[in-house]
Amino acid sequence: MPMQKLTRRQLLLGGFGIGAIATGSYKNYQLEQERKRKLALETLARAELSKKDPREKLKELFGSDAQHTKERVEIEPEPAKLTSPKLPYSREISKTLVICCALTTHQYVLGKLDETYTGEIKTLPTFPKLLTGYTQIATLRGIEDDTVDDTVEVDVPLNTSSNISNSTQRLLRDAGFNLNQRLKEAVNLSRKIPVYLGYVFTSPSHNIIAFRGTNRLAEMITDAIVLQTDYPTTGYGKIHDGFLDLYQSLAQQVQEAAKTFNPTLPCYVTGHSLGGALATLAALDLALKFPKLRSRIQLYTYASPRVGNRDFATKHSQLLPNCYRVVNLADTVPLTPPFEVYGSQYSHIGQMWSFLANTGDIIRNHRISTYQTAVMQAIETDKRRSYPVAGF
Amino acid sequence: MSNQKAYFHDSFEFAHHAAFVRRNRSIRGLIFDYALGTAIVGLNPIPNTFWLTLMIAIVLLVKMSRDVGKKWGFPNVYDFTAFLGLLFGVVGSIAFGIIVFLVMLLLGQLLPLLSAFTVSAVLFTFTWALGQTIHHFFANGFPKQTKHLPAQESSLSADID
Repeated sequence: MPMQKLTRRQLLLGGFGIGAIATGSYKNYQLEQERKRKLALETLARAELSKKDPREKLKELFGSDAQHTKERVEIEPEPAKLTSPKLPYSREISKTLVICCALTTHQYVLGKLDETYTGEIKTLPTFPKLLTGYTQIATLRGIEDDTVDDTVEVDVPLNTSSNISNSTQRLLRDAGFNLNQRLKEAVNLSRKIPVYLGYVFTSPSHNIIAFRGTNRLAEMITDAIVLQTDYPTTGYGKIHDGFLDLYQSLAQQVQEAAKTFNPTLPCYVTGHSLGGALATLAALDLALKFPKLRSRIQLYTYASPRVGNRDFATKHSQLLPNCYRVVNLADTVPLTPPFEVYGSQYSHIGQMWSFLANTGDIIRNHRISTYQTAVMQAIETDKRRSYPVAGF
Repeated sequence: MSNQKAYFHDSFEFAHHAAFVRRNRSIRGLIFDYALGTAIVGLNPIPNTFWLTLMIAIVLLVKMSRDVGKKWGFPNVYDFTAFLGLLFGVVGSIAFGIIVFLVMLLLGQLLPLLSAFTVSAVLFTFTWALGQTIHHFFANGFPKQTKHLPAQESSLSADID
């Protein structure tokens, strides 16, 4: 029987089949070798692991953890060599200042809602009688305006013809009328708003500089930048990069206001949360720029996070001993940034005056209203806790 | 009289169409064979010889382009759209090749054995797509009139896939 001649296509298909089998077999061989190698490595790793006692490892872990805890606790009582305040903590002043802090938030919110608002504290609907004797000499405003999006419902006008005679048309007209009454359309409006970050008050007896806490997304990002940078003045340690950037955008305004201060009058610098950090930086900035004012500066912060490292805290305390920080023990913000983060160290400034107000919510515990209530009730104390605490 | 004219006209049209179809089938088969050829080359399992695989594949692609053009008689194409189609076709062929590569990469993760056929699949797809592009480009030069056919058809009459 004569052998039939193969066509080109058949030869190619045959070649492909043989090639596929050869390649597949080779790959399978490679995979098998890889599997064997992995198995051998796993066996070696298991053998290596079995040499170590798991209990020893556990001990190592717990031991190192306990060691870390001890180190931190050792830092906490003496985070920095702070100079004791020369003036006592004034509850009366603290009450005024905590109200001032609350008003900074109201100022920002009204600026967001009312386009005509220019940042005047006295025009706030929440302005208390307690502050009637004060004159606002400056409004601290961010360098960049914020953009807000409002969703507004508007009536949609529908054109209806007046000369309608047909009954069907009349029916449609009525339907259109009803629709016209009900139809509203949501319109998104974007507008620029000023970002108020605080204000400066003056009175015959003293001056107040108040800073607002975190309200905007950009400020949350600022809070989160925990990397440190050198304080602009040499020898003052390292501080939170985000706080410094934000304060530097306000420094000019603060300094301009401070030029008008009577250096014989006390100057209270205050702020809540992020405002506390800004107040810490503002107080030091004024002390360095206006030496005559230095002895008159007193810093009252509420729920302030840590601002700088140990060197910064020590230097700050030496220059400005009259610093007080009021904290809610159930508030997490004063616990941030951690003592050590990404190789940076953080330490608090000021004599701690604490109270306990656990509302059961992380945000409420931090709110200025919680602090205001506590300070108004005068429950903050610099004494040690009388209830049992877990300690070392 | 008019019916007879119509008959001749239809006949010429049919012959013209049949010639186009025959040529199309013939070239399609040729492209498929080249695609199979490059796919076989892509199955090369010898380590560190990928450059050789690519070289052979390039030679085959060039030869395929030449053969396809030869089948069409290298007609002069003056159609701007045809050139645009050639450009998009080449870009599209590369894109097809990349997509097949990615798909094979994914399949290789699911079934490692399939990763052995990645180069083969990519070369097959690319050759097929490029061959079709060149085929369609030269097809634009196919004469519109039946009277050109006899001379061209004589060499292609036996070339049926």
